[in-house]
Amino acid sequence: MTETNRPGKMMLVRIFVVMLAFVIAFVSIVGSRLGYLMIVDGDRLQSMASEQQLYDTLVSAPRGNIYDRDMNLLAKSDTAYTIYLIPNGIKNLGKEEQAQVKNTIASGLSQILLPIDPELTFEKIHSYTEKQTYYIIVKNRVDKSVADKVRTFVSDNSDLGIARFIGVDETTKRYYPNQTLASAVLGFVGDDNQGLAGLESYYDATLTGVAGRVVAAKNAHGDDMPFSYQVVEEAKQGNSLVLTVDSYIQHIAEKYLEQAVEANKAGDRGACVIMNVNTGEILAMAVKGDFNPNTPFELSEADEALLAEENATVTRSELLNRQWRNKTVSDTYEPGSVFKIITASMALEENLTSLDHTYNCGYTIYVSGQKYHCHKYGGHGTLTLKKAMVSSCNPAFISIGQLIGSDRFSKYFEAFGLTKKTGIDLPGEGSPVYHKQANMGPTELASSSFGQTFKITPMQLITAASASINGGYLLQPYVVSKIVDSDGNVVKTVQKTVKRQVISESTSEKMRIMMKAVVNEGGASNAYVAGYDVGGKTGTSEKVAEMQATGQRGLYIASFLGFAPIDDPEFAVLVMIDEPHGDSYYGGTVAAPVAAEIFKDILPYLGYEPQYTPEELESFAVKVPDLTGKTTEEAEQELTKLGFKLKIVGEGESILSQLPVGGEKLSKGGTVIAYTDENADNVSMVTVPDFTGKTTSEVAAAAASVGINVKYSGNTNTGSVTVAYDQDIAQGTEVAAGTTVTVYFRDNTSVDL
Amino acid sequence: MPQKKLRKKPSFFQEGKLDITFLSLVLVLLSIGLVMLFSASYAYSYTYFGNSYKFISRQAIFAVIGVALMLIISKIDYHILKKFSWLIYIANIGLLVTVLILPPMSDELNVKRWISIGSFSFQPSEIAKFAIIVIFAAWLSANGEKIKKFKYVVWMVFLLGTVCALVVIEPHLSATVLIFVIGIVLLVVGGIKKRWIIGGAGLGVAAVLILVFSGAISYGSDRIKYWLDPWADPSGSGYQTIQSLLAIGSGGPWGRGIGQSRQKYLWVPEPHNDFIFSIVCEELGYIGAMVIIVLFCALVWRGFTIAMRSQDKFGSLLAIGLTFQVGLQAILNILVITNTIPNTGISLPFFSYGGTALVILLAEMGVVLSVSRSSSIEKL
Repeated sequence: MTETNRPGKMMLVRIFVVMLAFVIAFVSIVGSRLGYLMIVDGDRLQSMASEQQLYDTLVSAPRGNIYDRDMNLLAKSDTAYTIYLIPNGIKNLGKEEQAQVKNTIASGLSQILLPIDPELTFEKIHSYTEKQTYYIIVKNRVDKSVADKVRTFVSDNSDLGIARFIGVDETTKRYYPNQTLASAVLGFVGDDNQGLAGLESYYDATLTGVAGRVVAAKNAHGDDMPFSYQVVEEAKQGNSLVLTVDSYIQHIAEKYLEQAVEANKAGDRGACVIMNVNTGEILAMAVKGDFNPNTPFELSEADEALLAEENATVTRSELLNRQWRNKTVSDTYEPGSVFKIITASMALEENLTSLDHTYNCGYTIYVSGQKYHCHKYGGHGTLTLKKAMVSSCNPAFISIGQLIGSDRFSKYFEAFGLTKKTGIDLPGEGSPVYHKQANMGPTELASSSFGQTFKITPMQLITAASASINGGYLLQPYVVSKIVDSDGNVVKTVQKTVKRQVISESTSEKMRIMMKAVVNEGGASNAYVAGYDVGGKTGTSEKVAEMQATGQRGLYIASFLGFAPIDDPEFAVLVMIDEPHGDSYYGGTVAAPVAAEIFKDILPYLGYEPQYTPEELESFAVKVPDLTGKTTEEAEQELTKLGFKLKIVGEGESILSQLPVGGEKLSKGGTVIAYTDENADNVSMVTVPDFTGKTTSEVAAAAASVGINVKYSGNTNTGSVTVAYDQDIAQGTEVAAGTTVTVYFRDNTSVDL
Repeated sequence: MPQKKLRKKPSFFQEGKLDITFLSLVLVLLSIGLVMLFSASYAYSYTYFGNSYKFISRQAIFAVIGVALMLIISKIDYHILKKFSWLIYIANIGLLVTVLILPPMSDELNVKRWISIGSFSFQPSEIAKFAIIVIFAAWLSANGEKIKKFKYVVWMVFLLGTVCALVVIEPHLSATVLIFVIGIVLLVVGGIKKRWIIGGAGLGVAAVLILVFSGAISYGSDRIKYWLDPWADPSGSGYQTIQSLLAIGSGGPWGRGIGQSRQKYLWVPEPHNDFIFSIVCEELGYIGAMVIIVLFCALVWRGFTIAMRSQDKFGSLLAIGLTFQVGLQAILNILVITNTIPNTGISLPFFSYGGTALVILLAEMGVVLSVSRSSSIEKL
């Protein structure tokens, strides 16, 4: 090697130039290109990348709960599970493996799911596995037990790797622990937990929480990345509602309403609203037949039978819509005589009349050539306003209406809130139909005076009538008192809202006197509740339009609106039975007893101590003493002192057991059956007779003849002719001798229109 | 100086110290490359082989073999290559012909790039690069000013052209371009006249254009079409490019962090091969990517420095050819993955998966180190 073979100067320069050119080119070209992609365009590219890499799974937020006023649960969200398939992964398997996986999935899942959904047959699920989609729901909202079965099935078949194709996701399911209770108020939710009726619908936005998200990364095959990347946004539970409704009062209202709807063979259901007249709080709102919000798409047996009829004129969806309809706010009706409360309030407030002002009822009255007549044949003759109210005399009220005049009548009609929806926090409130002042001629005024030819909702009526007895204040009725978030913080409290004062305190006081008289002096004597002062007004309205439309006859709405305690009213109860087809269709016989039973149960519950008159005390049931261990002679002595009779069964000397047992209440004159033999087989069984249609004394005789006891309920006032209309243990039932049967009485003579 | 004595005593091994700087750069790039290969490949490896370590374990073994080989070769006097330069060239031609005769290894028919011996396989074009560097270095260092004459330029271009022609009909366009450019750079450094450079460059460009638009028309023109607009077929021909760009863009200035790439989860096809740098960009960000680019530049700078201080032209040209090859391959790879130039199969030295290629690369770095032992570069 020689020196000349070393790189020459020129070559060194060339090497340097090439090196420099390379480094400059590399750093500048690549550096700027990368800079553009990574910094200038980076965000855009990154978001495009995220779009393909990440998938969002929405985690449904649990819906808020619904509580009654004492925080008892009425509706809650339970965890449920969604079973789904990921069928498009199956196609990547080998042919034989594919078939095996599909068959295994179809047979395994159908075995688990077929009992809860008859549609999920092997073939159906097999067809799902053929689909080329990423996600297909097999069954929504199954219970944990079913989800666990699916998980076990998946792990049992782990050798086939079916975990890649079956998924179980948590979701929520609405659950109503009290079944049908308050269903008209609560409403129900649809498949996606969206509120479809009632409060669930009205407060849907409040109850619906903020759905959470699971942002998971997937690889290009659509699988979750094995080295997982997940962002979870917790689902936020929706706010809960605290209602003004009291579960117990609601239960009582529903119990007696249902009894009445069945006993009176109501053609178009029944409704009941219980409202606090001083605050506008709804304590109960019942509709029968209603539905079970857990299974809102199931019809009652009666409705199914109706549908099964050969010439069925109704469709399933009509029947479903009917059972979901909240009659108390959605349906309008002609209030009939109950509306006389409003007419009388107007006249008293305008000083057009007084309680003792007299009217003349000559049976018929002509208004502009139209003839109206009183329900009492021959008329009432001369009668005071108070008496006209007690007797529900239409001619007298037509006269009062004429005094008021159409302009004042319309003014008050509006002031009582009858021209507008009440604005209660429930969906689907019906709009009233009424005569505008301009269109109100003498005949329209006449019929409106006694509550016909216009239609309002039961909710409007109870709100307006409450104003007339609570001192004149028209209130905003409401169902939700508080909105509470998932941590228990109160988000919103609803306060009593007075819309306006419609009549004066003194007019209102006069109205209370009249309402009390209606119950105590006839008219609504069936609403009498021993120990309490109840006021109210009955109503029997003809469904004129429906009768004309259908050609049917005898379609009525029997209603009663009662207040208690009437001297310082707290509660209003409105009962309406739509199209009663029983023995009677009058409000006084059909609806008033329902209100009486309700008041009898709820007033003590609400803390009102009964104040019995001496006569009431006399007829009142007393406690049966405990006779066990006593000799027959001792027992006889003790019972006679209390006014009971004794019947001994067996040969023993001392009493081993008795019916009714010690401490139970029994009407005076009742029989206590005492057993003296150890052999329990000796208990004698008797058949409950049919008490309906019998008077109190006839019932007592019938009961004594078979050896059972009766408890009298309802209108058992001496002096009025009351007969039994229902009994709590059905006729023909075998019971032990001495069992107590509750028998309900009413006055069938109280008639009004 | 004892140096004189040593020179007169030709020996198979040489005694001078190797250049620690160059060695360090090689080892640093290799280490980063291995770490990134593991990161980029494990999801792919796990999915298709049920084992996250399939690629990295194999590559690591080859890296160890390669480093050992590199150190051994650095001890050997590189002048042995000069002696065997023709043999190497002819053997290389033989391999290039063989690969065309053998049935294709890849799934794509008519693509014949690989020769396999047992469980090893290699691309003869890798050897071809080396062969061209050796033959050019040998010829240019032996013939000095002759290169200024036209007939010798023709001779050199013939040597280069034969290799390029054999590689391009494999077809392997990117290797052809690499070999061609390395050859030209060596001619430039070797002292070819400027007009031949310009003329040659013109001819080269023309040749590439002709090849692209006529010879392999379906292969080339579609590449150009989807190069200009990869979104025209986002799930087909444009897929790889788009996925690469999404990975690069996802990196942003600072990157997602090592191991945190999402695009490596099967989005970027074969993220361990040519497109490994996309994953590097996603994980290490612009800063990390630029650090690696600077390391490649440093390697080129140090290789060229060795060349400038080399005791003879042969060593000098050898060092230039071999380090320039690494740098050129790096720049072309990054230009491909950033869709700056059309997509051609070109791997990233020290990073991309491929055991034989890594061993060949490290062996070549051993040759550069061998040159450094006799160069008068200041050594640490």
